[in-house]
Amino acid sequence: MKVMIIDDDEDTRILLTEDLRDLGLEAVWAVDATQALPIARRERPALIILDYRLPGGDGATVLRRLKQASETASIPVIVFSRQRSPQIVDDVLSLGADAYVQKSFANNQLRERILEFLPPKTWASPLPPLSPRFDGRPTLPPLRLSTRFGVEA
Amino acid sequence: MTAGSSVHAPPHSARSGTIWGGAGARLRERVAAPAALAVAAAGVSFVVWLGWLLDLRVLRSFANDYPSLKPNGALAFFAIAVAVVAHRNRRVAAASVAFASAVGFTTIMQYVLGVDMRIDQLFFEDRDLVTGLQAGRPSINAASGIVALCLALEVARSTSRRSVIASQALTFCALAVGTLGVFGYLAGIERLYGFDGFPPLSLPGALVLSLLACAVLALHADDGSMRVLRGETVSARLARRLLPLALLAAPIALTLRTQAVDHGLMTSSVADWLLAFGETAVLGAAVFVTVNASRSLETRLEETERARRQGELLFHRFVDNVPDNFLAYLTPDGVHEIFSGATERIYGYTPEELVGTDAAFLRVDGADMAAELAEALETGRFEAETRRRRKDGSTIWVHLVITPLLDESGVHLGFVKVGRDVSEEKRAREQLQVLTDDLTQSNRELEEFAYVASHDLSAPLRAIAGYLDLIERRYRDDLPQDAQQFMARAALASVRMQQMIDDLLTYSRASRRPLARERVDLTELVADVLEILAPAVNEAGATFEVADLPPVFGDRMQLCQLLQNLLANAIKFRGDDPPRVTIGATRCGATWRFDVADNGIGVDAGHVPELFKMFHRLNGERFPGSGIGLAVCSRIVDRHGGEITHAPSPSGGSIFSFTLPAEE
Repeated sequence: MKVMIIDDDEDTRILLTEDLRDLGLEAVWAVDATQALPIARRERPALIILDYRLPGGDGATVLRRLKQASETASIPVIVFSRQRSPQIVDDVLSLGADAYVQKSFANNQLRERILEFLPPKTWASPLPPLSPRFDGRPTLPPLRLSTRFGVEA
Repeated sequence: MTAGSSVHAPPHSARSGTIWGGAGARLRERVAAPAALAVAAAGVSFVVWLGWLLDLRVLRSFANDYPSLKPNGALAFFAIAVAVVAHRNRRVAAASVAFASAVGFTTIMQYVLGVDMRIDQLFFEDRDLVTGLQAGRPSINAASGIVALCLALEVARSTSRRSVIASQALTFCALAVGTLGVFGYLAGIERLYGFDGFPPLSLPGALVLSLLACAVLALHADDGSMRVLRGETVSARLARRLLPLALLAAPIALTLRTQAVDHGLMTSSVADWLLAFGETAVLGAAVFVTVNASRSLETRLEETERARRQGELLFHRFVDNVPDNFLAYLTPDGVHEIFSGATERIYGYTPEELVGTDAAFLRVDGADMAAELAEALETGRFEAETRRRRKDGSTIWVHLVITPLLDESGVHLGFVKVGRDVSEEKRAREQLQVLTDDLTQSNRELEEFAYVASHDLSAPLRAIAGYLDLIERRYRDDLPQDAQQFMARAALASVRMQQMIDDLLTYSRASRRPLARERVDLTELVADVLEILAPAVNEAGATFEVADLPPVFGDRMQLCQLLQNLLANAIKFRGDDPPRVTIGATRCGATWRFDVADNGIGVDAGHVPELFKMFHRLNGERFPGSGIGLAVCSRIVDRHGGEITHAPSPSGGSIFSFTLPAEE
């Protein structure tokens, strides 16, 4: 079962991917707003975790596009962001998001919400095995380990 | 004279208390009017004319053996009286004067040229005179008096000081001729009214001449020497004393002499000696009085001069010793006339060097000061900070105040300029402004930096914590004991750092975000805060006692933060007993004071001054924290225009008090 992560921060993507893997879920990445919709259409994830601040268009735009496209409209979206004003929760929910989780230190809350949307009993396939080591390689798309100076590995 | 002096009674006497006083003053004013005197003179002239008409000698000479006033003389006197009464009607006055002066002048010419123009008996035949004298011709005294009065009236048309004095001198001459005649008749001295071989001045003529002279003097009672006679000055008093003496001394003395000789009291030689002696004595006394009066005047003048010099000296001392100010006086057309001594210290020019220069002399741009002076004159004050040139060529900033100098009646006498060298002040002010701007800018940048830094620091920190968590979850069992401990410490440190970043963000928000002021119900707000803090409250078993709190005017979110920090502190810094917190409010003028009292560990008196500073932690070992919470509180209260203080509670804990505005 695939969960799509739309976030420009690589570390967030990697850590989320590992959390998902611990839960037995597969991660799909999109790093900016323009990639989000094509990848979602192609991969048909069971859940989307969306950063609200993205390069190439803000999260609200992505959210609106996802909810308007017939193929993706039914996919639940959790908006996951650093912003913590009470207003943003109302904003994203009114745009069709299914939940808002604030990026915080411990990601317990996000894990709970993921399980809420994807209860283990609904999973079609058995739990994938836990990866024995973190090898920095997500399933899709290929991992681009970049440093702050833009060197790509 | 007395008549003239009361033509215009001073207003205070006219207003004075009793009815009689006021009526008296009005009566005097009316009677004393020049017109009254002129009418009296005209009346006498008319009576004389009647005397000629009815051939009643007593009417034209007042006594049968006295000389009579001739018809021509009576006519001329009447014309002068008309000129005085109608002096406002220029044509009538001029015609009357022309007629009278023609009569007078013709008569004199007859005497001088020794001709008879056959005008003397034009109206009536004169049989009053003994043979040899010119029948019907007015005396030379009367004719001169008539001409003098006519000239006086004519000259007085011009109001210049010179013509007024000339007019009055002529009138005084006429008056002297008239009074001498009157005395001559009173004393029976022919010489005073007639000369041998000429017709004498008649008694009615002498009377009319005196009356008309007084009338003409009264006509100009406020001008020239007449003004000097009025008033309470020394000269006026002196003149009032000496003038009657001058007019009366000789006639009286002559009268006395004649009477004494006539009655056989003494021989004429003794009488002449006594007359000479008396005249000398009286004149001597007059000189003595005059000298005394001038002496006292001189003394007073000297005293005044001395006082003035002292005052001037004192003034100069004062003015020259004012360190940074100079004073200057400018003439109405803007030329420097007086400078105070401080000028040299400020401009490098001595006051003497600047006298006579133009007001714009020290200006850097060389433009004139006309506009500035005009403004000072118009508005009563011109004030500006201007650049001026010193003698050595350097420029300074001078604060100038120019005010116009006017006398009591509003006549413009010039300008007073007060200047102060403000170069240093201006430099300091400018420097201060630059520093303030720099500081404001750097403050803003610092706040910006704090916000951006704390914001952007969060993401990598979260990543670090995330990876640590991941390693811990996945590989805890593979790690040796000490490595596990290091990992745990690293995780703890990152948690602490996140806390600090969060607090920094809060502080920066409390400083940056504009206040959204509204009415905030504090009782409600405390309830909300307690709900947020519920986990900590329950864990510590804390009890709260909240009084009825008033609404205040402030930013809801920031006040929530304030209460949250204070209440969280009250729970966090607890002693061995479960926390007991009371919250109360007291009205202090336009503000409310709120007290949050706890039974916690309190604060050492020595640490109180540092309490509200950033990163200041008093109990670092026992209680974790960033040391920003109270700094945030202080910042919030500060931005609301209040004040936050700490006091020890009697029970050993702390009382945090803050004030907030009650109204908008």
